[in-house]
Amino acid sequence: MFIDARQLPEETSVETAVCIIGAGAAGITVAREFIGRSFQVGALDYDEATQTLCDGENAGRPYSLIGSRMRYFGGSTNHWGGQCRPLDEIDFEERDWVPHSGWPFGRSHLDPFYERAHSICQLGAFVYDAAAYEARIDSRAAFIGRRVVTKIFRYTSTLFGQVYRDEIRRSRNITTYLFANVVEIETDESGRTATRVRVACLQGNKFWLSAKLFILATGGIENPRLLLLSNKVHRAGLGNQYDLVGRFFMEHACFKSGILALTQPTVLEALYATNQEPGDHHGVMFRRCMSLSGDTLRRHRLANYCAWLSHLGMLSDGGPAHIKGFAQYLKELKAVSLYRLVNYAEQAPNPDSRVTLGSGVDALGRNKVRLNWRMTPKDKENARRVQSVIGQEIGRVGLGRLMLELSADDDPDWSPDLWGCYHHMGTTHMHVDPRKGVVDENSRVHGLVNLFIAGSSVFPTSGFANPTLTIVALALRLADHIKRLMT
Amino acid sequence: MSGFGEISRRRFLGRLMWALALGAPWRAALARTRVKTPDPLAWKLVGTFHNRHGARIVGLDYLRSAPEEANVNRLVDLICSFRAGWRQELQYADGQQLRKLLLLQQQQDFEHGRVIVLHGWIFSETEVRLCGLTALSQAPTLR
Repeated sequence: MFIDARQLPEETSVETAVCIIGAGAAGITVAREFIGRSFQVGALDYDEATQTLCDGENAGRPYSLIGSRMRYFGGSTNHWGGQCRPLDEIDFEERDWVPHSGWPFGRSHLDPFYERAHSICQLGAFVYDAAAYEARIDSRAAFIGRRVVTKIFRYTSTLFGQVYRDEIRRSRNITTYLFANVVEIETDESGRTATRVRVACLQGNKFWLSAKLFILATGGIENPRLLLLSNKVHRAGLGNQYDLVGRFFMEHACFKSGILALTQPTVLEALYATNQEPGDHHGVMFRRCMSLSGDTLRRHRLANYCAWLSHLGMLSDGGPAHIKGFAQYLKELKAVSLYRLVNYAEQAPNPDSRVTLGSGVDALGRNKVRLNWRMTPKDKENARRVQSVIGQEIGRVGLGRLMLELSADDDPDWSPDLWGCYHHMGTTHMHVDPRKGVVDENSRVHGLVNLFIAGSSVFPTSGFANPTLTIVALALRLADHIKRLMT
Repeated sequence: MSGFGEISRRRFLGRLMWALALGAPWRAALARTRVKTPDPLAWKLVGTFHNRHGARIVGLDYLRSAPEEANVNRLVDLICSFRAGWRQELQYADGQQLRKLLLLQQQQDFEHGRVIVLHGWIFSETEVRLCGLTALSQAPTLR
């Protein structure tokens, strides 16, 4: 059932077994797993009227804190592009060239959850083998399977807030409170057990919701904010005994940089153009991207990456001024077309890239969030080195030449055109060691027995894949764990 | 008649212009190109380009960054150091075979990371050395 929290009497106390805070992809997935169970579930969600509560302070790269999130039932899936793929095997590995990397489990552990997540995201069969998509373009196979490989994104139009709304509304054991903003998580005096959450509506009334277990699922920016705001017992906030909450904020770094002069443009354009292609044999839109094989990433000690091609023009038309000097030679090589790489890069976890509490307060009297998204020269170096490998492979197969546009200096603001994809990750990241992570391998907040976190804030690393499929897979894994705890 | 050993008036003036444009270190480097006994393979290698104008621009850029290679015989030796017996293979190849062999060599360069970055462009070591040779000579195109 859905309840308009604004109608609840002031200072009402509600009791339930499991409290889910937030109803985006993670919260809805967990809630659906609890439908029909013997325990009661209380889900707390906002509504569009509270969107302004997303506002905050920005201390790092330009970023829209309001525009990058949706604060109503369905969360950011209400306006997502639906681009999905699982993380790669290498993304889960501890890589000594990517500081703070390593998940407590590998890709194979998550695969069964990915398959279930695929169904929830309505993505058809769980097929990401590029070879299955290459059969009809065998002439392009020369480029595939060495250092540079083709990877697949699949697309869904599933809006979680619409598709699963009625299912959750009809469930007998789930009560969803709309217009409900959790402002604090309270614990007992020891600070080890969460006891209840303080909930406030913008219209003024406040109430309490008590539970045995709490699942925080409000996204990669609000999750750390709420932990930091919950500081009555632990002055630094919940789970923050080692000053890790909010650190390691990661985005997928998108930037246009690098020019390809191609001899056979139709080959690569057909493979890696930025448009989606309709109807593979599973009936799902898909798109290929250019990436590096796991072995290549390991051998060259690179972070993960993918790219598409954006057509710049014909070489005969001249192209950008900075290539003109070499245009004659490129023609000698029989290059005809120019493309710019549209890059999509993994950001290495950076403890100084972080979410903290700002000095200003929102309409509910809470500190606004302060975001300091920071890339490092190492991220830039990685991008340049990845492109260099791609350039070598393009040259090897005789498809043309690549021009690096990223400079080799260590300018931390390495690309003014770099933008984030509104993927907020890493701010309560997972590690078995409480000195290295905010949540353990079961997504339980270190130091608390009954507070769990769902969502991309628990990602230790980000890969280059959009996070939603992994968010849903991890939510399913967490739901299974909670079900075992509740029996 | 022209070549690496004998330089026509026109070629001499062309080189003089380059030398003036490139400054003192380049005058010394270009002087080294006027060797009495240039490696005859240089002729063949340079002749693999259909349009040498673009190659010369790349070659000049490369030799600016690697002045120690601004010598015809040095460049030929470096190109021939690809693997044992490579010089002979290049020497006895006809024009079409030569292009294939040099393409293979460039592919191997890219495969093994033997690349040079000039103004951001990623080239194989072999191709920039061929371009460097072109910058130091004006041999006729092989037919």
